[in-house]
Amino acid sequence: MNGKILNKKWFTLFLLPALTLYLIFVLLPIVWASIYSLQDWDGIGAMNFICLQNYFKLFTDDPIFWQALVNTLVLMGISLVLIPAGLIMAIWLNTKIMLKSFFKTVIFLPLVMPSVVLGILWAQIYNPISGLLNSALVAFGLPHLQRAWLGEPETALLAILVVVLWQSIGFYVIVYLAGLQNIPEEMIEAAKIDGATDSVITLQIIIPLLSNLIKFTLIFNIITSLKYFDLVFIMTRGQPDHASEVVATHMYNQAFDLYNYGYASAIAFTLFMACVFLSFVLNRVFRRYEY
Amino acid sequence: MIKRKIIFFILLLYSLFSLFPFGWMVLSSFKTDLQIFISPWSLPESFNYINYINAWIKGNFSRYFINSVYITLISVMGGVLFSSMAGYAFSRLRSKLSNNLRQLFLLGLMIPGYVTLIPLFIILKNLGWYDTHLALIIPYIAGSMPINIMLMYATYQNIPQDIDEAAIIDGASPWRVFWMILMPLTRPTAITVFILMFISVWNEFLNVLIFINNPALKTLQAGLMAFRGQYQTDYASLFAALVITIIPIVIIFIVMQDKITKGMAAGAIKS
Repeated sequence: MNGKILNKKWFTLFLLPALTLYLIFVLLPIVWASIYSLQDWDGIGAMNFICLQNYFKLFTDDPIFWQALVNTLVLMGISLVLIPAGLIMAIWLNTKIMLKSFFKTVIFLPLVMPSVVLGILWAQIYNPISGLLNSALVAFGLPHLQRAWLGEPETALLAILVVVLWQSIGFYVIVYLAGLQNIPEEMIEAAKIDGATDSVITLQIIIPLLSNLIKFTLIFNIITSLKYFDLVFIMTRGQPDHASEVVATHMYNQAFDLYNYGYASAIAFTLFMACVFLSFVLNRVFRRYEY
Repeated sequence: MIKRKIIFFILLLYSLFSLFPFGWMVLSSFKTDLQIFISPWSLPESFNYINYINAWIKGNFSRYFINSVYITLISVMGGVLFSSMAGYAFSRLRSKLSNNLRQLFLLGLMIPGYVTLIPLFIILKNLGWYDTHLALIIPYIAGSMPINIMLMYATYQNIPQDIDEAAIIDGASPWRVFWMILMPLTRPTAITVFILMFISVWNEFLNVLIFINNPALKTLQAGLMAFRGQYQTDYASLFAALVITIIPIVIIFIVMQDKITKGMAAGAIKS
């Protein structure tokens, strides 16, 4: 009995710092965000309770939000390519190949780099006057293709997306490589002796064995794209004319440029609920197909 | 055999493409503004390091660098210590709430950072921490708890209980057992957690942008964004500042690549 009481005391003591900080600086803000989202509030004056009006406005009367949502879905759709691309790279890097560790280092490097640095660097590459890309086009005799890549609505989002893919592919390769290393080599060798071609091995052995990891990366990819913020914010802030706006940058602008704290909280909370809901649903759906 | 050569060639091409921006950044950091402007593809005429001096002194990057180093180190030490303690509590000092509380921490893995941004801003203002480094360090530690605790808890679960039970029976307090026996045993994971959190705190920019106003208190990432806005055409110094910002990360990455990738994979597979 004594031991149990003692245990309880120590349990509390050991958990106290982590739990206190987590409650005050992570969970409490979520609760507050939901409360703010029901107010008309500029962050300074008095709060004005307006029930669900922010949410009505968001879904019925905010063309920028819809534009941002479409862009977010474009980002989500295109970044799905990371799954097959990452898988192929991982399979290649899992064979005996020259310069393997060099390739790995190079592919993983952008993943650990600060987004601010990558964003500023690529903004220089895309720079219409002194940028690498435009001067390369001139050098290759294609001067008519020159553009202000981040300054024109047709190209801004795609130009950012290239950088997003380049930065994130390392993560997928890391996860798949970890999975591939758990597949016994004898299994692959045996299949080869039986005459299986590389594509048969990939489709019938590797992909089924990695199916749980692939599902995980799919959910991860969808959620990450939904809440994507960093490079868009750094490179264009959603401009020109909201052509590269995503939901998260829209929320930022509403909060910290226009001081619509209540409205921005509604966007933030909607995004949070969408993430929770999607990961719950996707997990359920995938569990049904588990075998 | 031919197939292997094709694969090698594709990977080589991708790697060169991928390294190219970094190479260009380093070369440009030794050029003059005029050279960058006129001939972005050329090599620097001479390796003049004046851009680095400009960024370091005029651009205030010496200050940003010191701020980044100490904010990151304090946050990471706090993050590792508190998550180790929590991992120990969840693994060894069972209580009725143990499982529920652990689930509560896992919930945090799903929360995008900016959902908490506005309320956090208000909370920090009310605490009087706005525009101080506490406004960065404390939320960094708090936000790191879910993933850190997940990794530490799994490690504690893998250590046989009899090691520390014997010490408890011999009369050692849980704190002593934790500090003298289990902390050393879990050091490899603690180092992984340390490095992963170091990278993410070092790279963080949004909190600094919103919670810090005083230029002297900014970190490298926020400093870069301010510098870009202020000296819009001083590209040469901007490139030098970019290089300064990534040097610590590049060193850590090259030395610790294995631990970093294993840690990321473990975090992904367990969640």
